[in-house]
Amino acid sequence: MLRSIGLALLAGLVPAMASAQISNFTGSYSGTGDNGTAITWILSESSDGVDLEWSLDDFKAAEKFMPDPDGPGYVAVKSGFLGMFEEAATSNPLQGDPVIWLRVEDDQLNYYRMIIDAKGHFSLHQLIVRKTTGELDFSANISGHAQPSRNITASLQPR
Amino acid sequence: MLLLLTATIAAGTNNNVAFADQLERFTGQYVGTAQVLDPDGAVIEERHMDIEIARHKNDGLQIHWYNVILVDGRRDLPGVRRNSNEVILVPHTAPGYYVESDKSSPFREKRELAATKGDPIRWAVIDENTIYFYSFQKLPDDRYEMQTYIRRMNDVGLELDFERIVDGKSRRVIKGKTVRAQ
Repeated sequence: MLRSIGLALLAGLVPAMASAQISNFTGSYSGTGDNGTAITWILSESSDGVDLEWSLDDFKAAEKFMPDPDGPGYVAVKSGFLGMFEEAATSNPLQGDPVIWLRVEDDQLNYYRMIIDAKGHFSLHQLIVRKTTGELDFSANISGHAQPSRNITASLQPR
Repeated sequence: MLLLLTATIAAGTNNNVAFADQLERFTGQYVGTAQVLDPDGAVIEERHMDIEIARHKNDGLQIHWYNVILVDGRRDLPGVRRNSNEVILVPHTAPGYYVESDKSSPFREKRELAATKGDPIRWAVIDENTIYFYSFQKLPDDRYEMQTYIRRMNDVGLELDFERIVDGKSRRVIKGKTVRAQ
């Protein structure tokens, strides 16, 4: 409860610069990756945080972010699947919680998602987006237990 | 419902105990060498390794290793460095899934971790021939660091593959070979 109140208060104190930065990446985009993967990216700001829905082939996710009280970026406070938030995301991956956050750096937005399943197998997504004239440059690095990492790039178009 | 939950926990415990017997094949002392590689694969450092793997209590594993970082390929020249590390792995929620314990703080694995606040997350997956040990940390500048230690058994000893990745970029790779000491 206290954490929720604290996050809400912090949301009201978001520096104008940080808000302007995140707004550089808002919008609804879709496209196809260099390996044929279907990709969607929908980022929006609201009065209570930042909402992101994205999909990479069959993998779909939706998260709500708030400014990170302990760092410069944003942390997910809710995560689930497209259109349906589940429980608030906490941050103990050893209990199966996803760790999800956003980092804005210059002209790019970094998205991170790490989760460990019930067998100890991890999955790590790092997405990087840059806005260019009318497009969104997108790249994904995906790694997991006992697997080589793979990269996917795309130029996403407005939907 | 309570009966089902109890049965499930009991089954999980039995699986962990059964899996613990398979840890025995990793135990022993290993000696060998390793090379630190730059991102282009060039050797930038050579080291001697000494690894001891032992059972921890009935169902865990203790890995202790020493490194001697050589000077011009030798260990008898000024500037040689020696370091040692230890990790204790205790069973977690499924057979083959382990988390790091700390001998000096036996309740460490019980403490609620906060990965988004920068607490390092350390765990291991052990299968028939390989110990995968992972360390993940969200850094203060909101990048991340992932370290992977893979110790794979072969006919004569253990092969080691280590990689440190910061924000998706490989920063350090170490490849080593050891043999089981008699």
